[in-house]
Amino acid sequence: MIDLLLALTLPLVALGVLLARELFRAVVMFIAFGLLMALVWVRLQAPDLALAEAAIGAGLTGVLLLDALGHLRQPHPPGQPLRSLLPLLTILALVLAGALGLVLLGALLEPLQPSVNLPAEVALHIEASGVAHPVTAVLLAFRAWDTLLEVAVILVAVVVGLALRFSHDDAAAESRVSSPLLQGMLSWLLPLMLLVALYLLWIGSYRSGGAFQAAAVMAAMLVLLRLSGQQLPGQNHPLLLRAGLVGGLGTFLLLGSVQLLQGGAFLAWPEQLAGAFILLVETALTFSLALLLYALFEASPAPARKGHPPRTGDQPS
Amino acid sequence: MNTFLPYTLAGGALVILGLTGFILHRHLIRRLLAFNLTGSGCFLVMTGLAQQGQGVDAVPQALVLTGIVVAVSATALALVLIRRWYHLTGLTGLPEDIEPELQQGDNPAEGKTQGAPH
Repeated sequence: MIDLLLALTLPLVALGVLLARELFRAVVMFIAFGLLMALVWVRLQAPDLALAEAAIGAGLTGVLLLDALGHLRQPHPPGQPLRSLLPLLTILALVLAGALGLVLLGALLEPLQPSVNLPAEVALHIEASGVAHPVTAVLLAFRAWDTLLEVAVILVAVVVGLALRFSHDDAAAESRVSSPLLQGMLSWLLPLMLLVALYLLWIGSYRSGGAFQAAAVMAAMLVLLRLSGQQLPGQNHPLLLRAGLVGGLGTFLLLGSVQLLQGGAFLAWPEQLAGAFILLVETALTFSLALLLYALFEASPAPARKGHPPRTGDQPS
Repeated sequence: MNTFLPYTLAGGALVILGLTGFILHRHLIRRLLAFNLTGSGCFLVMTGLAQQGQGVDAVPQALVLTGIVVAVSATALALVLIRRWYHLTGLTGLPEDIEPELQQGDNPAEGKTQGAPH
């Protein structure tokens, strides 16, 4: 019953996101959608995903969107739609969505006949992986390649983001919230968030938790610090920042190559020390990912000045 | 009925809704939201479908976990690009999607060719 209700609410809230008149309302609906997704992950018995979704989907994405929204004070709506094309586009979109829906429905209702029983395989080999929690074992032992490349993808996103940003001072001057309540709460919240992050990191080896969830909480902490106008230690040392950004990927690569020197495979952990290696990599990843996620927030260009250039969208560029 | 089936179906519905919204909306942030809805739908289908057959499965869960983190960094990068675009042009949509009404655009057919310079 509760599953049916939740599963029904999800598309309804999504409709709310898509149909909301004001953009602000759409964003708030989207944050609510993230929270609902966290609940859904709990019902799907994926507490790791619930943790990540609650911290990222509802927390970090919400902050990013609201921050962007505050800077896009648009003087006029995005412009008139192409009246000539709109009916055609609508029909096309509906036909496309309908076809996709039929295909998806067919695929979803047909029982899967997998040739490999993955849960059994994971249970069989988890002893050798060095950790006791299956999701962590998959992430950092069985499919470590995926995780490594994922960190690399995020690093690329951050490099592009940083390349696009305006000068430091612009951004720093604008995004600052000065509320006595926030300043007062900070000294309570920050130690708590740090504690939660480190706990999540540590617990990841035998229960739900791990580097990604810990990094999300830590990134939220950094964003909060930044919004309250506090100086971050090392904020003005670009070299330090860059070292932190690549630190996770670097540690992952270095430790992954240890076995390579002894004739083993890349990303295969030494048998006796697998647990320790995974914990080291996770620790490096936590701090590095937190910095990466924070850097993407920090990279947001400064808001348009009052006399921003007139719209030039109708000039071919 | 399986506990996971409703969520799988909801995931499918999210993919469709998100795709339609992505095509029909013009505001870039709305498009980003629609895109994220599609992504969440994909995650749900992936996890739900795998677990329907074999019970709780750590492999799709781990893949979706990395997917969530990549999705947030993609969203953040998209927001950086949108803000940069807005800063440079004052627009929140793409010129291809907008009637160039500031020019002499009473003729829709003409506007169509002008709006898509590429």
